[in-house]
Amino acid sequence: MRRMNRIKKLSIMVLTLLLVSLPVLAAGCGGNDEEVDPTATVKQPLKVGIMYPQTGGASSKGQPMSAGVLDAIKYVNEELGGVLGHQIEVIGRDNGYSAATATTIISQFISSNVLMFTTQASAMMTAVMGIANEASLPGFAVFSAPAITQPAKHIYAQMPDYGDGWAVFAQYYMDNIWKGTGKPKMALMLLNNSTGSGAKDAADKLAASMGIEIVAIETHASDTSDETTALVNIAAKNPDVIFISSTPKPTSTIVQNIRTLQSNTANPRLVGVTIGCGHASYTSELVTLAGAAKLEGVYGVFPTANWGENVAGMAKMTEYVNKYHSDFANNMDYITAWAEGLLIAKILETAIQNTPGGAANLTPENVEKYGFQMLNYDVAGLHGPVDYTPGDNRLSKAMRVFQVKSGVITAISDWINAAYIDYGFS
Amino acid sequence: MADLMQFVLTGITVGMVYSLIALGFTFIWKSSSVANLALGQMVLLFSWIAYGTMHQAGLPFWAGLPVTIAAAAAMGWILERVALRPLIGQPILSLITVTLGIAFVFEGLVSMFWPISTAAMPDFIPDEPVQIFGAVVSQEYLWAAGIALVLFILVSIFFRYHKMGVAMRATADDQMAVWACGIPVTKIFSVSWMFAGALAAIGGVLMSSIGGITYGLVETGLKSFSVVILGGLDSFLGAMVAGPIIGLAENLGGGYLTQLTWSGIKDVIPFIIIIIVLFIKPYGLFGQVRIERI
Repeated sequence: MRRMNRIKKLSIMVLTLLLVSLPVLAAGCGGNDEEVDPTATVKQPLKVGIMYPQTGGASSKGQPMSAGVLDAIKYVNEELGGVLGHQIEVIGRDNGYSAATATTIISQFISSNVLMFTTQASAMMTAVMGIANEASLPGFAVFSAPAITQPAKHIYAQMPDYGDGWAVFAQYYMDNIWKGTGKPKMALMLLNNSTGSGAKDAADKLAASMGIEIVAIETHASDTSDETTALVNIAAKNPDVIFISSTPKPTSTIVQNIRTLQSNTANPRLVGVTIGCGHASYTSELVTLAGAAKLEGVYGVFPTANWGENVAGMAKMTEYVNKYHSDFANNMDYITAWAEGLLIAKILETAIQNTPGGAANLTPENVEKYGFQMLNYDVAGLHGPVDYTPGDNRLSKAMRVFQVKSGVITAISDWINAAYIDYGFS
Repeated sequence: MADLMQFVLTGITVGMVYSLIALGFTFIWKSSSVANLALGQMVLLFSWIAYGTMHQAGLPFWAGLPVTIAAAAAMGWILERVALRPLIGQPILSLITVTLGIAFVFEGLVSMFWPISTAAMPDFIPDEPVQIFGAVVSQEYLWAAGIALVLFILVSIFFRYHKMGVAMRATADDQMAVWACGIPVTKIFSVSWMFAGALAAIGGVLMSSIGGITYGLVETGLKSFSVVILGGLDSFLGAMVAGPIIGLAENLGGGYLTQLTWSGIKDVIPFIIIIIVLFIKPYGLFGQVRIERI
């Protein structure tokens, strides 16, 4: 009993000593010989929500993209000293390409008082834009579908959308590839979400006036392991061109299935068909998965510069990808997301410069009014210039057509401006 | 006729790939009555390990595959020893929940060690298409189907005739009774998870040789749940038969009903069939009917 009392007393003494010494220890840890400038003030950070599909069905895009945007913001914060002296504070979340997770995340963004937010996948923006529009929280989707920005509310698109991708490819096809007479027959292979429906919306709206006949529309799931059946059905319609609007994994499956059907000497199908891809899939991931030989000659649209091009932002981006994420070198999704990071910084900078009272008065409403809607920026040449046209919430409007040549995705067109398409969505 | 042949051939071979993954699920269920919700993630992780050994470490296929299988078996043993053994005798729901946790851990491991997210498995199966009665199918699918068939025969023989296999079946029936008879239940669990790991590794290598290593392997793994539900949770034969049924349903439905209904019907048909079959045979086509008196 006496021993227990002694231990108890000893414990109390140690605890008391620790408590007494804490302020001294804390002062010691924080103390240094530098003098603190009493007039210096720390500028408040600018809070931004970014969600990306690092896991889940679109992780092959989400991982390079999350790396790209976070690297770009690291560059802005560390090398440029932030946005006019304000550090960008990122609340980054993996949505797993799940609509349910995305809706939870957007609520977290709103309750964290972010000034703006971004999603990288159109499907995720489709899931959260209702909540964001209701809260008047401005944001943009890196890859987007027409239904995200039309009718124009508080959500923007970083680049042209999947409808624009179809329209640009279709126009290029008519002008440069189609050599036949009459209307070319086109089949659509569409992912069963906004990635696919965006292309369909544009085809519904424009195909007839462009002189293209849509002969088949097939949809597929992101986990599809074979699309031979759909392609046999498409082959029965004898198409001249197949346009695939999907992500890299299903697109690689579809292209491989096309090549298999083409090789059937007993019953050849789809021989000589032109293959075009929307920009959600047309990256180095696709080449990795399908194999360069099978992709040879396949066309695709993409809204950014290519790796190694002589544009202002290439050197710094290349330095960062080599330094921090060398696995994503040559991945075009890294470029779009690096541009996403630069764009976030420019929107905030524009908003601070134009908002009456400056950074102290930044609110989501002011970021939209004085940031998004007053943009005039070339994004270091990494994609088409960014500006705002009232009623058109696509910030950049330019795309290019590429083709796989000798296993390499090669630009074959100059920038093509994607005209505004009024889809009549209400 | 050529179209029908194409639909049938594609359906059977794709369905056999589903069966291959489903065998791993059935193995665990048959020996421990645990629904392994981490199956898809196991397939993904072991595919990456195969990539690590055969591509990154540069081992040839004949050496890389055994190393991968051994690593998968070791991982299965660790899982059982660390995460599942402490729960022996606890409600089955606890064990199932743990497998869900394991799934997230595996996803985390993949992100940590292989941040590139997508890769192509080194070519070890020729992908030149084979022509059969006017239809055509990639050799990769045929190899996967053939290997699934061989594995099915091997595990069936093991469970039916091997002492350990019989003990595994008995353990699944009644853990406590088997324990009381002196059979080392813990050892049986360890072995079953090691085998399940090895099966997932083989399935992963074959699946990723077809479509590359992506997160889609998890979803394909999950798709195999519909196969085991249709075939019967505890039946290898069920897994082998239900896979082609689902593959055929997808392809024939997609081939002939799309024109009459809508594009995408292909993805719905297997589930309609499963619902109908389960109404008629709640334990699946070949599942053991369990009647409990209350």
